[in-house]
Amino acid sequence: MEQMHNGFWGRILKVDLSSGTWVVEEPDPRLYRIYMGGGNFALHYLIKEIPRGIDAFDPENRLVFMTSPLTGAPISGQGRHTCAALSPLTGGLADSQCGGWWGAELKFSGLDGIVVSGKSEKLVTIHIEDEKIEIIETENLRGKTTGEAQDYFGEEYPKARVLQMGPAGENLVRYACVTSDLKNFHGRGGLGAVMGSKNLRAIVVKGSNREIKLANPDGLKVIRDWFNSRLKTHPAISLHHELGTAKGIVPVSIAGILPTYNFQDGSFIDAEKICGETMKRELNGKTETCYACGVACKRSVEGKSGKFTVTRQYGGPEYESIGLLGSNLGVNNILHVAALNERCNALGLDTISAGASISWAVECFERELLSEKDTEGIRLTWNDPETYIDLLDAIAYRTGFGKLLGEGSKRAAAYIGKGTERYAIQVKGQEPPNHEPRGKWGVALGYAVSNTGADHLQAAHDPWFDKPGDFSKECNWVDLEDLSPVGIFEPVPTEDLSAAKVRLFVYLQQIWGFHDVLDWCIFTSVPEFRALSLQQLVEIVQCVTGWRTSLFELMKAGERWATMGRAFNVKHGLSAKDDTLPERFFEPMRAGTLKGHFIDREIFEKSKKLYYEMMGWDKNSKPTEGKLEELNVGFIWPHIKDS
Amino acid sequence: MHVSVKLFGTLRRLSQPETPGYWIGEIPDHSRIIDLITILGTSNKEASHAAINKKVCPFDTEISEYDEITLVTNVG
Repeated sequence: MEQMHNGFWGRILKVDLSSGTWVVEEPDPRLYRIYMGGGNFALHYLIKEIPRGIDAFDPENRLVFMTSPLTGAPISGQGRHTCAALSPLTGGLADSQCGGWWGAELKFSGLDGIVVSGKSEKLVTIHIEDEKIEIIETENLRGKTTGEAQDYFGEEYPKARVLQMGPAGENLVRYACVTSDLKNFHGRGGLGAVMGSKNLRAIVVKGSNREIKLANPDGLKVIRDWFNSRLKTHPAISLHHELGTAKGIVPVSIAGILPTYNFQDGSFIDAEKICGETMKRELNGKTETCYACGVACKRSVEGKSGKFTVTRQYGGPEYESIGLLGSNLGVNNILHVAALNERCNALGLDTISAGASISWAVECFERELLSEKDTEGIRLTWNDPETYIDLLDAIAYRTGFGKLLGEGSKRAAAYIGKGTERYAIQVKGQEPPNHEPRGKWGVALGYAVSNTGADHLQAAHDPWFDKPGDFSKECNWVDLEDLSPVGIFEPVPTEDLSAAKVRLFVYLQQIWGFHDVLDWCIFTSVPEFRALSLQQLVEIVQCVTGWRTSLFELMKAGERWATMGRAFNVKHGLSAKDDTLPERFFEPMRAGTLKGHFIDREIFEKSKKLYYEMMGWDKNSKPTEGKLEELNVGFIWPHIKDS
Repeated sequence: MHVSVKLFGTLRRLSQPETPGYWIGEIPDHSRIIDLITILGTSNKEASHAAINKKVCPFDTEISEYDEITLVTNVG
């Protein structure tokens, strides 16, 4: 098969599991330029094809897997892909990027994306090998862990890449995740449960077209060589390679923004016992990578002590998982944290929502709002990993108290009542990740206005931008100066939601928005690391596609992502009233470096209103017709004009 | 005076080879944390927070002999 376009095939596989049929669609190539790929292209299908008012488990829900023109190109950072659907956890958008090798493999098979609709009568797997596409029954995998299924697929389809749900997805746990080759995840939003609702266990892919057609391969090689020459000398990237995201645990705890004991505190006395340095030393931490990436920041750990065993099969815990399964539950042993992480991975559970649902229950039990009658005989206390690991199984297989916890903390609290709602730390039903927003208010705004529920990847975090620019130190942490191409020059305090902060947030959201639609990793570039500059990202897109693109066009793609996501939510009944924060974040923090700090509610509400105005949305957060037309997605207006 | 400094974030690169994550050495009496940061060859642009004996403190805090100092950088 000959690739017709630079960077993409112009081929989308559409599978109807109800009828067991499929067709390869060839979208207008101009859509690739407008959307760039990833979440924007996924939203194109989600908005057009999902009827208003359906439940996320309805066969009419769509499950979209999408790459971008950069996916599979020979350069660090492109080894990601997108999965999106109507979320069973939030009732709005689930839109998640996953690293690993599956996205590139899909591209090598001659496809840019897959749109799945309908529901199979039996548990099935979609198998793709270049132009050979088949839907095969895999009822034999029902109830099996992701590791057992991975072994099965490894024997049946050697060297293929596997994207699958686990038992949690089969049992419709609302925060079931999707895993790629056991070590990479579409973690959030319950995408695994959407797979479960369709009786789709896995999508197994192998491709032989292993060279993506590039407009300017020599130009791309120059950038790749420049980046690779800095891998070992760049302080931030070399540290990220050595320790992974877990490098952040101690600094964040000392700064007072590490969620601890269900977000009651911001510092964990035992942070050093669960940090990246300890994981490397005590669990023989090694590094793994995504397709063609020199950063290699993934963890692989092993260890055994008493009841707890951890193997390299499932990789190792990331920063977010260490927080929500560690400090936020009071767990102070890195082996125990890694074991909880591994069990989540084997069962197909989002580590963040699973950990936070348990921490909600522990705090409620401690406050005597939950009794042993409610928990079916389980006594809940902090730092009790043996009980937690049993609870994870109960959640995934929907037994005992786990059946309720599998609904997520918002629904569980609504069912129990008695004031437990106050301790369900969630936004739109999704629990926040490992960042305490009372110490960085831009993150708080991001948690509230995110179209996918509480999410830490809406915009780069406040502490980067509270000092004046200084370009004197090459290759250091990111600097305000790096944002000067988009017109950001002045530092803004971390605990601030002035107009300057909202403006900073809007531009940062557009930057990470275009990272997401390009399925590009934030750990290669500004604003996370001072490595690839914003201009170099533009040049990478030019070298791959041949488009005469610009930073302006990429920023517009990022803005389009936020506004299309908002339009999707509006179509499905969400509005400004859902852009809230848990009550706890408006109350003084109990302990830690930032003891007593809280978010000013009046300032927060004002910032939200200002954000909508800057985005071209009305006071209920509905994008205006003019804004949709300006973003070249006017087709959306009829879908939301009566909302 | 003799001090032991635990280094986190990119400051970890300032570790001594035989003690990864640590810098152990002599600094002038009455040094403050900001002086130590300068001795280590960096600045308060990179170092974001400090703690002495696990208690977070400002950069102008004076260091005592045998204090265990923790220095971290900003890191989502």
